[in-house]
Amino acid sequence: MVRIKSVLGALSIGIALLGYLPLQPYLGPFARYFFPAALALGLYLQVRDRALSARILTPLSILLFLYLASGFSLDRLVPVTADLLVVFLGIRLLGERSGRNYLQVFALSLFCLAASSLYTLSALFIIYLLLLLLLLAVSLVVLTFHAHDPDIVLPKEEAKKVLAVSTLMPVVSVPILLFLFVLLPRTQYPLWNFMNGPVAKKTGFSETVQPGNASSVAEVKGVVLRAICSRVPEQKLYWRGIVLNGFSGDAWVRLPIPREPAPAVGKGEVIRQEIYPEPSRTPYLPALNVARAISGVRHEESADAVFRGRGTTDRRVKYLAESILAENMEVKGGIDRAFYLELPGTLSERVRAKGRDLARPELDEAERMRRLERFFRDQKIAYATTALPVGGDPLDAFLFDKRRGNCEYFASSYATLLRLAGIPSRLVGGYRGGNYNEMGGYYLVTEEMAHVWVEAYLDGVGWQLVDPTAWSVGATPTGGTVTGLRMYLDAVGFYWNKAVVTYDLEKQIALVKSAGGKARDFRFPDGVGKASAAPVLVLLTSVALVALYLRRPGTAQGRVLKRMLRAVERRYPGAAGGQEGLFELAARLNDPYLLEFVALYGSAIYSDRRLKADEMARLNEIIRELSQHRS
Amino acid sequence: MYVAFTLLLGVSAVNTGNNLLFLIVAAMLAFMAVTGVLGWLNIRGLLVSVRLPDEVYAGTQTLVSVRIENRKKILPSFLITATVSGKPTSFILLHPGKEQTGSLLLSFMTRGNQSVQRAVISSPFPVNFFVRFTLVPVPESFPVFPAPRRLAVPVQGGKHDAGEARAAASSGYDGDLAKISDYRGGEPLKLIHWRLSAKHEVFKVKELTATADQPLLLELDLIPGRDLEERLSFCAYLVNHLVKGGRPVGLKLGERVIGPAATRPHRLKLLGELALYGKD
Repeated sequence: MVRIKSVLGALSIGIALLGYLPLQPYLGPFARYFFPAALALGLYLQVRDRALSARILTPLSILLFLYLASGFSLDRLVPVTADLLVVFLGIRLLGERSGRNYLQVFALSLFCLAASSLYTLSALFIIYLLLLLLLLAVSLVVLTFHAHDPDIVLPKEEAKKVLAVSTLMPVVSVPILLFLFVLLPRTQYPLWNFMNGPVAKKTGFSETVQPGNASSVAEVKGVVLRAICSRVPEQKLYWRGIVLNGFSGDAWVRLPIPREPAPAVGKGEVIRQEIYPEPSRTPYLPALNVARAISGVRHEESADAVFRGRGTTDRRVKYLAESILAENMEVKGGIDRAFYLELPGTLSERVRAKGRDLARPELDEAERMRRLERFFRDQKIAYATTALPVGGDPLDAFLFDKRRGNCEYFASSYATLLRLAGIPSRLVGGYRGGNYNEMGGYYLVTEEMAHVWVEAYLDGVGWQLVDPTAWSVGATPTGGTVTGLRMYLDAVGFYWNKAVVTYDLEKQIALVKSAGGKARDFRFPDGVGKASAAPVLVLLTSVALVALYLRRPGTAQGRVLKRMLRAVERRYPGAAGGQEGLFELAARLNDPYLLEFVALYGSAIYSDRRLKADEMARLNEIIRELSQHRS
Repeated sequence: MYVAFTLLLGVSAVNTGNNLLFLIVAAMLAFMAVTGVLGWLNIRGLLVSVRLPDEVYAGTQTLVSVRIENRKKILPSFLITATVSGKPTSFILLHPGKEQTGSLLLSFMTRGNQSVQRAVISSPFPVNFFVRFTLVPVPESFPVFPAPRRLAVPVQGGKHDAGEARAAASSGYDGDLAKISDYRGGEPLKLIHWRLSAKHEVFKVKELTATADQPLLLELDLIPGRDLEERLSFCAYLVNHLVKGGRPVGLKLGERVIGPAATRPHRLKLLGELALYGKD
């Protein structure tokens, strides 16, 4: 025997948990601890078959609402709402176990899950959703029994049947869910934007480079982007994001580019990438160095091959990039040398002297660069992220005293020295390396791969990539292949993002177009000649006929009745078709043909025998007469 | 409420362009569709028939049994309520291909041929958001007899009250031997007990009990009553009372005469005649 009441209680606890768990990491401390306490108390009350009265719960709800709502502001809308949802869910578990309260628990749990999607877009969501769907389906069915009789007790066999039918519902729902998901209308832009705020996190390379303002760099982990493309040689894995071309005080910043004639063009093999960046606040769209074109998002392109997305990229997007793995970029018509030779505000005497040494006119540009490289190597500078040089002139300390630093030190000191030596230079910020996921066929680029390198302008060569960090002592090659469980987990997450999270209007349109195109271009495969087309057609036709036949009422009686009703409908439009019985219809219309039909038909059907041949003939006759008779 | 929630989530999904919200909305819509279909299937393929007792009197509550057969092959039907003439009876679970019987109390206000015509099959299954219903024809027609009204008439026979000796009431010519008594003159000759008479000075006659009462013909027009319905009610009472008491009763309805008999089928026939009298 199964007590519906206890089943329902257990199910509601499970559902509430499924609402709370996905939201739990993002809750305020109060809500985070209130819910488990309420859940425990709710369980205890349920076992004791007791409940707290509304006289306690209603004031409690109001008090908690006031307390939590006091933290409300426009940019804390989502956190406050999430806290409120979870707290109300907890309170509902304590109350009287009535149908209405159960429904509220279900709805609140669903809203909690929905709210969690404003925080995280992880693939775990679909697991929570499917579980919730399953439990909700069973619970709603059980609740229907509960509404019929709260104390209902079902024998085990019957309970099993109920369970089977109610689990059938979510199973059948899943294909419809997928279909609807693809079909539901999407807009190109969100109508409101504020709800999306919490998703974005501060990631990406920085838009200013100023070595020396911190003594250590925190190693942040986290995915920056995933890019589907073929494997690329390790030494070519530079993901270009931003170009810093000038100074604001001592910091490298991006200044408006002097009008350069045409975008720099490189030569070489074209690598196409499908890039899925994680949401970030940087508008720059990284791609393999050097990107020739980007499509799929609205963006602006600068002459230095920097692509800046328009609008925010705090939504999940996807874009396509075409890159040429070139180490240099020619600029037709040359550059504004003066712009790329400007110097920072402070420069130590030692650095200036080094620059003067390199700038001697008898040395050509290539020689100056060789000498500068030798200088860096001879200094034996260590790559480090801690105990970095700070203070008044960090570059001086980096090059001559401490001789340790990260890529920012290497790149900015190298680029500054190049400028002192009369060679135009700029910093490029982006990522170096990438873990190739063999299973998914994509590169995984993470935060700790953030990197800064240098581009030097040489006449006749163009912008030449130089990575001074490579000259450090103990420079470790980054990148490699992700293997094992991590590879699978990341691949699952990736496909989740690719298939679900980034699905948008554009994909919807593309899908419709391709479906339309396929239908239009439908052809039998080669080798299927016209000869074999005929049997296929015959097969299709017979399937259609069988389907039509099956749709007919099964018996001769059924068919004759259907024909009669059709004839009546023609004769008295709008008269039939209600919930009326046949006899009532005949009595109301008082049509002699119909009356006779009904009498004859009813005498056979209601005495549970088949119509005889002569009766059938007469019925057909009546139908014919009715159709011909014009009053 | 469910629809409102779905709409609310749908609006926020469109607003935010958040695909996970779209997933939730799609799930809710899919679920709604599936429950709709399941609810529709749940009340499909049910065959309802009612069985009434032989004697149904107007104005008297009658226990009617309602039989529902689930003609679906696989799906059981849950939480079915069958409403016949405004009175519901419910079934928790109807197994596929099986039937179940429930009962309900019906009362019919007027006599005559009646039918329930249709039953309303309803069920809140699978989710209690709304109740689906469908009408199924119930091909059952039956006579409702006039409500019997007690009429005190000095007619012999009739049903005896408890404890009353039955045989004492009447003597007759074709029953068992009750006693031997003296010949009083006037007894039929075949009742004279010749062997005993030879031993006595007076003739002895056999007194036999009666196996049947005197047949009685009830003439509707002569039965007291303010109107036809009242006369019919009295008449129905008399038919029941007398036939149950063993007295053969016949009926004269206008020009039509139904011969007397004292059997139960005959009584039902008479009641049927009374039920339909003047209704054609």
